[in-house]
Amino acid sequence: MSRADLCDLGLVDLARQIESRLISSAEIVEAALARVDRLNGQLNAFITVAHESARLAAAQADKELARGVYRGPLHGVPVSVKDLFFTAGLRTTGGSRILADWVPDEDSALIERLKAAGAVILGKTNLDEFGYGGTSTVSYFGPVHNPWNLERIAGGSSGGSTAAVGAGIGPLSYGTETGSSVRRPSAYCGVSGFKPTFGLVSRHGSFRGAWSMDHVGVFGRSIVDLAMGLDVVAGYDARDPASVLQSEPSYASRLEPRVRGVRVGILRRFLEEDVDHEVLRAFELAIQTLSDAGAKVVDIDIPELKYAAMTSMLTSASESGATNLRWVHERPDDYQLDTKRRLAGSLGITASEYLTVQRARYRIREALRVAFESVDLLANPTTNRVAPLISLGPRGNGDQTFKLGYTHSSLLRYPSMLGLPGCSIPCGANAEGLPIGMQLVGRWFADQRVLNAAFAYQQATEWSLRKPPLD
Amino acid sequence: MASERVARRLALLDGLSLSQADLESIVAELEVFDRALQELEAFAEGVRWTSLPVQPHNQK
Repeated sequence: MSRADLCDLGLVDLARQIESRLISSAEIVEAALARVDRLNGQLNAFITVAHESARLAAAQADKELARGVYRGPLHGVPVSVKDLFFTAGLRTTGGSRILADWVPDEDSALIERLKAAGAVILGKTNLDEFGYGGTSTVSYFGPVHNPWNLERIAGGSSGGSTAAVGAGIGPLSYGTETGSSVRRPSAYCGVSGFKPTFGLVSRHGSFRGAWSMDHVGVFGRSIVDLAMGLDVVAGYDARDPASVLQSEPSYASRLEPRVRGVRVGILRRFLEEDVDHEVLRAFELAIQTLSDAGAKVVDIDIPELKYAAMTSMLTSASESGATNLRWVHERPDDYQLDTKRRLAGSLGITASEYLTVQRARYRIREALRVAFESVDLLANPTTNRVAPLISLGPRGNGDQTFKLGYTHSSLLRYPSMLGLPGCSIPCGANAEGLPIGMQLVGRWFADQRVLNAAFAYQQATEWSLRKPPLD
Repeated sequence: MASERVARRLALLDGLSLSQADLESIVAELEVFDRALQELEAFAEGVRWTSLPVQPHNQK
């Protein structure tokens, strides 16, 4: 099998071939390294490529297999991680000049779990500085380019991860989401991305964006891969105060393409104002597919969601300002200009106003709790347009975060603000071939239901099989 | 009134090293924040609790 063919394999096939020793981890990791070396000049998806440590880890994985030690489906598999996760001995920059040369002594909880599962860390992916942005253009290391069109953004803030997975550089990548940083870049880059319920995956050892909204998420080219990738990293961790008690993760073994009888709510009023017609058409076809598979599709209105985008944004602003307080005072000019202004401005929100925002957040949460008594999932186009041009800059997404109305921005931001499990899955393409994504969101801890519905949709369509024109 | 509130917000940034261009950008952002906070004040009227981001029954 050629190196290019190896890079096309999903996690399920890679794991099977490694376990049966048809191919070695060293071969797969060399193929992935060759691909990143060939493509990263175009994509700028990686800040650091861990050539040496990845080869050592692959050799170790192969030695263990030769001794009959098999750690599971990630054994010897190359994965990438957003450069917000601490990696012992490997620089961790946060996409910032402030930490451009910082090498942590310890691994984050995510890296600990990945290494324990035998995964090989291929490198650290590019992002908006410390995760503050939605384009992956606000990075000290330059913008990430979309594998489907290099003049367009990958989306952010986990754009390096989605560009890597979309380009076939490793079957999995891990990122974070505070506002929409898993789902949006997934939609723009034509990959699947899953953000679990708040507290399922430990954030210990990662830079904090906003304490009450930060999540760890996973990216892949198939829902099966996402479920396997989630199994490895989910679990209680006392070092993260938001971590929840949970049974042994088994998302992959319980995965089934089941959407029959599932009540899918459509927030149609939020789709009338600012959603591109090609995106809307792809979404309507996707909903028809779910309906054909047995889902009960119903319209639903949750007027309180009109306030979700501004509530999310003000919460994020307040918390990120506090997180960065020292550096904003001591090293303001080491931030990217957009980040500095954003963080400085956030200090203009008072503590009592922050609590008012949290009361608004509670009201929205209660509205969602009630809504989930009448539907099992909420569905909408993940983004209201395809990936915009890099030249449009950090505001190029055209978000209407502070406009009070039935705007799409609130659909993008409510899942993270409320800690709900959410998935973006490819569901179409515009006339230029740029990917379009569908978002599925479930009630708290209904992660399996979200994955199952996404899996059912993926089984029924071929949108996740498309490849960007890079070769 | 709105300009006074924005001025009070700007005062909270005292001590930061900011250029004139930074300040102009930040004032524009603070005006947006200010309008949004007014909206949320009305929306949150009568709400007695603040949000917890996760359901307590699954929390340790």
